[in-house]
Amino acid sequence: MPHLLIVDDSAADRRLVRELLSQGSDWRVSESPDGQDALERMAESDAEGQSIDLVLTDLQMPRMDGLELVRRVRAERPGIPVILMTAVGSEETAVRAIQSGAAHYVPKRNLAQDLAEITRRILEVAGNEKSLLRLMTHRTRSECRFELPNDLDMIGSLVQFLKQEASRVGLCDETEQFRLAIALEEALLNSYYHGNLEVSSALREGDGHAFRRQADERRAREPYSRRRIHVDVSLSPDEGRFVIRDEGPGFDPAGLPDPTDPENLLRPSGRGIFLMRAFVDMLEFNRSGNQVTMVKRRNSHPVPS
Amino acid sequence: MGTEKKLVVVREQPTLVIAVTEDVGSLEGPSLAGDLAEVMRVLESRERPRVVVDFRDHEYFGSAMLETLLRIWRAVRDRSGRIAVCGVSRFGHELLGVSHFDKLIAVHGSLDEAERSVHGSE
Repeated sequence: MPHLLIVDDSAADRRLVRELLSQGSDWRVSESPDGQDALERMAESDAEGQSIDLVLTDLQMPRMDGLELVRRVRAERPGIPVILMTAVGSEETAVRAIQSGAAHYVPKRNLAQDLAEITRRILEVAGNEKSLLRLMTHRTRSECRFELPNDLDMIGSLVQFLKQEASRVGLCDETEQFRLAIALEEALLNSYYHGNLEVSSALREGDGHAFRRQADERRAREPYSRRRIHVDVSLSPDEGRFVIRDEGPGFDPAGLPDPTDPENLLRPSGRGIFLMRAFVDMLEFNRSGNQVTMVKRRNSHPVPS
Repeated sequence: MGTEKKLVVVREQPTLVIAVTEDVGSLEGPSLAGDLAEVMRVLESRERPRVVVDFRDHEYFGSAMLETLLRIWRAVRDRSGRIAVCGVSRFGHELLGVSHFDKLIAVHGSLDEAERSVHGSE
């Protein structure tokens, strides 16, 4: 039986919403007078094994208002949808709440007409998502392939995706996710700047503006603009294998200076590949230096001294 | 990637306190460079600056932040100043250790401790 939580500082409004929701449904309904109390009630419900499935909240409340409640639920319990019940004149705040992650909003003057139906719909969608998430926790292997343009935003999204995938298949805990993210970021940046765009590390000396200027300029110019970054990934609970290839001329990784050598420590560049090596279990470049294979194993801490 | 400032000067006297406002991955390099330019404008107007970079327990940063720290360190050194960092997460400690930055810059737990260290024996 779905468990709903009504949050409103007006007891009369809570009673009205409870009555509207009880007509023709078997939902269990709890109540809270404000956002702070609602968060506490949700934690208690978890402890009792009767977790809240959906929150319906007013906007204006003491202690913690509806907008802040939406943000907190979104951050701490992303699987729980929140429906806002808004009074006349609070449409602007409702829009902000939707931007903050609220699932829907219902003007209070339309509650009788719309609330039960919207709640039913949102519960159905949330139920499907929850089932999918549960299913994903039983996935034991994930394989994917990407062909990316030279776009830092897209590279960022890929790193986030792979971090989450590595966590979903059970390969990485939180700390290992950080290590993996560093290695992936550095490998992809290497393919982007030094591989496809052929920007020299030497340009990082000084204030580094020349480095970024050349990268921006080459992104728009052939042959650099046509080049892609190819990423092949295979993830299991025991091992993640990441093959990243660019379409540049390659380089000789053996010729890289050791950035921890006191002589090189003060140079602004040259740390990327060192960090990749530090945070994965195996790293290997192909002969031409335009493809790197990295292997990350579960619960390993390959940090060099 | 966020568009908010990642590096902010939160106090100028007696210590120049630079706060890292969120996790900064290496993909944030271009926006970090813009923030660094503003920090440098303040820093370069000082003689013998006392500087603390406060990570405020943000969990994650990569080589772009190391490069940024190094540029700040150089500017401080060139002006005969002192620099320390504080509020570094467990993973941040690991990263500073792996890259040997902890040999270059003193790492302290709290802002108070870091400030005392950069003003020590004055």
